[in-house]
Amino acid sequence: MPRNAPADGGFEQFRPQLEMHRTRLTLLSQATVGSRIELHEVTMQQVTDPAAFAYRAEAIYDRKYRAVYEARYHGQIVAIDVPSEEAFVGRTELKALNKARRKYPDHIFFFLRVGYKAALRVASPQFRSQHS
Amino acid sequence: MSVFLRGVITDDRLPLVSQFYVVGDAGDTPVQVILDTGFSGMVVLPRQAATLGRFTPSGYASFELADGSIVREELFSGHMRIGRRRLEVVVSFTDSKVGLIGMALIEGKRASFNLKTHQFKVYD
Repeated sequence: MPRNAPADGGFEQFRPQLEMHRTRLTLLSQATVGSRIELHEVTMQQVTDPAAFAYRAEAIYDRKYRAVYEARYHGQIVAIDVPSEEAFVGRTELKALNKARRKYPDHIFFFLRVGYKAALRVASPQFRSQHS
Repeated sequence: MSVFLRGVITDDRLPLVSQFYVVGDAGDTPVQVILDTGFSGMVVLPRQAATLGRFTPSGYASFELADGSIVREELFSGHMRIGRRRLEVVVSFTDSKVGLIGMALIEGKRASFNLKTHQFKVYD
């Protein structure tokens, strides 16, 4: 390791990306530092606090998209990618998801319906949430 | 015009979809679902069905329930089969033993409910 290198080998700057992708990495010995890291398995982004994730997504939507989308996409589904703050619009959640997945295949998204307080509506008593 | 899905209307007036399967690695498994015009999404499955297929986490969404309350649920993508037709869908899970097919799955189609013959069909 160079004399002035950070104690952590300079990896700290990549921690947000690594945390986001939850990538399984092969531990490298000192002899192999600097060699290419092969990503053997990429797993989906994980959200440990869904409430905070939803709060952040809704804040992104309010700040960046609401004004334009409510005039243009009323009733359509928006998938918000929290890390990039990008939004993907579709007539159904699958169409919005597929657009979002094309760009961020390992991310998960927060879904909103433009102009509504919830993305989905269930009138049936069959649906009982584990949270309700 | 071909039939996209069909089913029977039970004595308690639930439109029960015929030949609905969760597609899994070990084969396709039939699951009881009703066609629910009050559900705006695609598919809700009984939680026990989560082990029958390969479901990829897709994110979270808020649901407005019949009483006006809002709950947040996790969404997954997976594959279902209706008759011979295999479909990619977005799924959430419920504690109910009966699943739901919602309006998003029959977007752009035509439905007929015959409460004399107790049958319903959704056409492409």
